[in-house]
Amino acid sequence: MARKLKRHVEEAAGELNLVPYMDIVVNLILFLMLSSTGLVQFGVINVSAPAIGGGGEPEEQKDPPLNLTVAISSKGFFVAGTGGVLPAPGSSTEPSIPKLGDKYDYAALTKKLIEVKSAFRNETKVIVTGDPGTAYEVIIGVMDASRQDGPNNILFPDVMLSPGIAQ
Amino acid sequence: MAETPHDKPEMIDPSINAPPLHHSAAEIEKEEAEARERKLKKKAKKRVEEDHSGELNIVALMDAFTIILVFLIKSYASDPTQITQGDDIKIPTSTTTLSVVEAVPLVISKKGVLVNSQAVVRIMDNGLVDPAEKQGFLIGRVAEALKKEAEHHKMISRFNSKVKFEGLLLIVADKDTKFETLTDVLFTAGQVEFGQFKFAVLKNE
Repeated sequence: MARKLKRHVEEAAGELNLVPYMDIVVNLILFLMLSSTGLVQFGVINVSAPAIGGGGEPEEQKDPPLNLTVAISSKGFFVAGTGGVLPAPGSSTEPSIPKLGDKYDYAALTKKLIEVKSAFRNETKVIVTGDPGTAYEVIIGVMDASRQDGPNNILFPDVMLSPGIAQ
Repeated sequence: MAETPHDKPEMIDPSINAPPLHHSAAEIEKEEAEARERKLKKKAKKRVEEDHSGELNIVALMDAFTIILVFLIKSYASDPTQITQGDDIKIPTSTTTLSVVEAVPLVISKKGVLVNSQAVVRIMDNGLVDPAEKQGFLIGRVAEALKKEAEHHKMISRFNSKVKFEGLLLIVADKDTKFETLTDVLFTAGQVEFGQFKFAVLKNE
């Protein structure tokens, strides 16, 4: 009886019982933390498929198109353009940028594309293609390597995907 | 000789808490320090008593929780598209600086293709779509699902001038997805008015 009276007096004095509110807040926080991806930064890469036939707006180009293509094979990268494939040092059948052990050499690809860019300043397009079994991660790596070298040196940001090489 | 009022010794009022006149400055200082110490001890004792009374002050905790809750709700609401990772889908990292935009999401996980969170077609153990589901490059069920999405978005754009159907598709693919599967999906999307693709990646800053 005395305890009841005491509680009544406390409540009347303006003491708010925060425990139910705490329960709700804790549950909400747990739910949001498990379902939210707010702490992970997602981004996107713009990609387009090459136009087939006469679709799309006609482009006025003084120079012939470069058609810069990076083909991903199991041995490395083949870099090609209108007129031919950039040869590997010392061999015409090996990829332009061979693999470094088991890993693809993205730094060498960027270096090679900087050379291409210095010769074709206005070109922004690159076609990416590859073996049917090429992993998506490698394609993203090639897009990164061909997009830019550092924050200010933009290389070939317009990426087009082309169906794989049939072997 | 009668004593004048000036000759009388000065009377000390006992109510005044002043030190006696015969105390030196050092003694006064010492007494003051002791008084201060006593006061501090009393305060500390009171605080300890309060702490042991069993009443927990949860107001500060509440403040922290409320701030976390507001932050989480805001970040939850500001994401245009929900992208989640799991055992079946691990998104590759990239150096891109572009942020996620609102688009129709198409997920290619290790086990299947999902259009707007609805499983549409299964991916086999070799990482490819079942050839029975395909006609050349075209994956029939994916085409149907995307067509429905396109019609749905077109209908919304008819009633809401702010919404415009641009044929934008957000591809959320597992990092081990095979290029063949990816090109099949992109070809299929291209056949049903989705001509612009955005590949979802994790920003590697």
